[in-house]
Amino acid sequence: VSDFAGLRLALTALDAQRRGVEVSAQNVANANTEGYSRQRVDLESIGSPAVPAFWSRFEGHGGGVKVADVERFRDAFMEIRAALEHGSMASLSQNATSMQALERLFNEPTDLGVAKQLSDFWGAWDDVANHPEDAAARNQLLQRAETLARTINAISSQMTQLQADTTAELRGTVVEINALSSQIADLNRTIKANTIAGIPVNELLDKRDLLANRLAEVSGGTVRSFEYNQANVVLNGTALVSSNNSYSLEVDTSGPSVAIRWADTSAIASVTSGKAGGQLTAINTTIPAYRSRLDSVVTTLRDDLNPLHGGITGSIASAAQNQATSGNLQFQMALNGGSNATVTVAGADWSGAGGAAALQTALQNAINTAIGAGNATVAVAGGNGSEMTVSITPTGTNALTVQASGTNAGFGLFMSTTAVGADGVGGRAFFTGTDAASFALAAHMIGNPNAVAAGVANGGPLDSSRALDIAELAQTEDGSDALYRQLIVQLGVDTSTAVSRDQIQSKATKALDDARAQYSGVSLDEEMTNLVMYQHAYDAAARFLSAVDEMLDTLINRTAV
Amino acid sequence: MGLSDFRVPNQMLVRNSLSSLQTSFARLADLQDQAASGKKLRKPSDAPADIVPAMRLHSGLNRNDQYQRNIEDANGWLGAADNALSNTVDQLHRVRDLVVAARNASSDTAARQAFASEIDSLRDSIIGIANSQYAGRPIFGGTSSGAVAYDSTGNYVGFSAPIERTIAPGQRVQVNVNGEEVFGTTGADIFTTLAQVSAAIQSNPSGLDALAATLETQINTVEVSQGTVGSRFKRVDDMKSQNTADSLTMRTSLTGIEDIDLAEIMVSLNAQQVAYEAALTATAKAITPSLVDFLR
Repeated sequence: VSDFAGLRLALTALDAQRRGVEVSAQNVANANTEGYSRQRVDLESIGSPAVPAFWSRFEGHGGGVKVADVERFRDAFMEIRAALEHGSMASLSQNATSMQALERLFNEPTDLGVAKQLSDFWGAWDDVANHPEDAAARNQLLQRAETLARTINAISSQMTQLQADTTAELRGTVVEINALSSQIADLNRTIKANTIAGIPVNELLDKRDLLANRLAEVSGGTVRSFEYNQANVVLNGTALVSSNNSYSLEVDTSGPSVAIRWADTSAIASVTSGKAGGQLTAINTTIPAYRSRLDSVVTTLRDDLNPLHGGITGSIASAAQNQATSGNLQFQMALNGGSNATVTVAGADWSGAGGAAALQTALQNAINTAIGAGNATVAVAGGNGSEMTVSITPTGTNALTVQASGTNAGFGLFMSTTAVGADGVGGRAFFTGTDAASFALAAHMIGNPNAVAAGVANGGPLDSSRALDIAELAQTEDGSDALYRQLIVQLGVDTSTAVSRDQIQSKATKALDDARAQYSGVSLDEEMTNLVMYQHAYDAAARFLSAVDEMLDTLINRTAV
Repeated sequence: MGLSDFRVPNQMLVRNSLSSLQTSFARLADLQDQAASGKKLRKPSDAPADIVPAMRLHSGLNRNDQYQRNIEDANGWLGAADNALSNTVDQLHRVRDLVVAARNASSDTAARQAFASEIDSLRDSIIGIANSQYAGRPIFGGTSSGAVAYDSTGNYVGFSAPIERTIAPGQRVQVNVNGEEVFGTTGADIFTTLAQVSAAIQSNPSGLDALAATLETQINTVEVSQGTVGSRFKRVDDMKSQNTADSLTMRTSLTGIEDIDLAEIMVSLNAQQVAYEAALTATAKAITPSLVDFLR
């Protein structure tokens, strides 16, 4: 054993303890660095030779200490779980945000909401029914109808805006995904090279893992470890990052629904989780679902109201079916806002068997003569001892209006149940539009209170029986009001579910983050304790060095002088 | 892992404190919002189960207010009709007395002249009553847009049709009575009879018997109409108190669903404020010290 072995041993101790202090210092310096994992020196004693030379004996002691490794505290399994949980939290939180934004659009339950305006609208019909002679009541009705239509239009356009905004956010998310993927691929390259060269990579790994977790969070992908400390990120089976290669995504808005595609193959990327997944769901599923519910509210309103207000119908009692002595029966009809043409039917006895068919032919021919063939279809049913019903349906997008021809009884006879305005004209639709965006008060109603049809053709000048019928639509069990209430309930249920799922997931994610922090996070108390520990060990090693020095001094200078 | 199970890294401590402070503050903000708005149901997701009843009650109340307006209007129509009909009946009873007196009276021309002219003036008065208006519309004129139901000679100029008001869900009541139903169809109406009675008193006393019988039937018709109007009037009146009671019930239920219990909210608000302040103090104490402070 060499006389100087003690010196070398002391040196290894000084080195090792200093490394310990340095690692503690690194930990303390990074106590608040996001994604940093604490490190610890793994000390290992240098023992006797493992395989002594043949026939030789080893009488020495250990050779000191060495730093085997600087270990990075990170639990790979926990990291994978955390990435998954963060991905699903991002998706749920996006979902909650979209639902809350939708909920705000509807403004319920307040006086600004559609429910209140529907209710006001129906009330206005009652006011018209109470005072059909009062132009103010009719004007108020038209104003409320316009307010209702505009409120629904506004909600629809805000939904479109929300969808467009979310699509813009999705583009941002995809840009972030692409940037993260290529950064991770670059880091993988460096990490692999350094690992092969034996250069410490702990800090690079921390940085890479931070980016990989963020990528998992935004894209919903899974992180998998790969050879030479590399990490791959996989999106439902397809690689987003594979070793030092990254594959970018792009947003495709050309189709009916928005899609995320792989930039190189144009194949659809299956993004179902993460922030991007949440945004896709909002754009393609959540918002369209509510839009179609709102659409069905307005089409129901339109389809319930328009036949009552603008349908051209009549009913002829048995007693009135013999018109053989009435001469010509006439009424006026106008096609698509054109001028009135007189429809003339020669009175006949339609009371017997085949009377309905005969009247149908006679009316159809007369109408064809007046406004041209193919513009309207007449249907007559019943008769022969029971009531006869007449209905005239304009063809396609045609609009027909009808009114009496002077004092001739034809209008009151054939079109007895047609609703007519204060100007005597019937057949005008009240609302137009096919969805919430195009829903509007019909053009011929705007600013024309006399067009509000409160009564029916044979009900007398101030009849308001039709207005009463319309006002009662408010109570229909499957009417627009009921549909709208169902929409709002669904909105409430969906929003509160989305919010509570988000909260639950964020608790679960937080618990996992705590577990990771417990394992990987820097505790200042612990580092201070380590610092004191290494410092004392350093002091002791230094003390040992001077003891060996004194021993050598004794041996060299005091012996045999 | 052993000891590391109990490690509490500083970042975790800070993050946890922050997150519990935020939760506590959010709860405080929510309570403050409730107290300020007076509502606990501010958006559908606050209580999805309550939103249907709330919306139903809102529209029900709105609709009920409308029914109340309809009822007021119906009351006006029926009240005017009731009033007019009872005046008519009074006058017709006077006519009946006059006819009886005329039948038994002497053949003195001057006396007959007096009976006849009183009947003429009663006829004019009944025509006036038959033209009674409510809100500018002749109550016996049906859906006519004219100002009168009968012209000055007693001819019907109205348009006989029912006028209805909705006074409760699915319940309509006819608020008018058509002149033709009360006073008889044109040509066979009470005014024609009265003119004939007046003429008969003066020139054909023997015809009075038949006319008296006709008149009796017609008076009876008016009385029946009065009864009909009376019972509708009663129905509308009952519905009015029912409507008021319904509105009150709905308002009470709505308050229970939508509005806060102020006392409860104030207590919760105070408790939450105390909790928040305690959390702040605890956080301030927990974050500050570490071993660094105690090492030299």
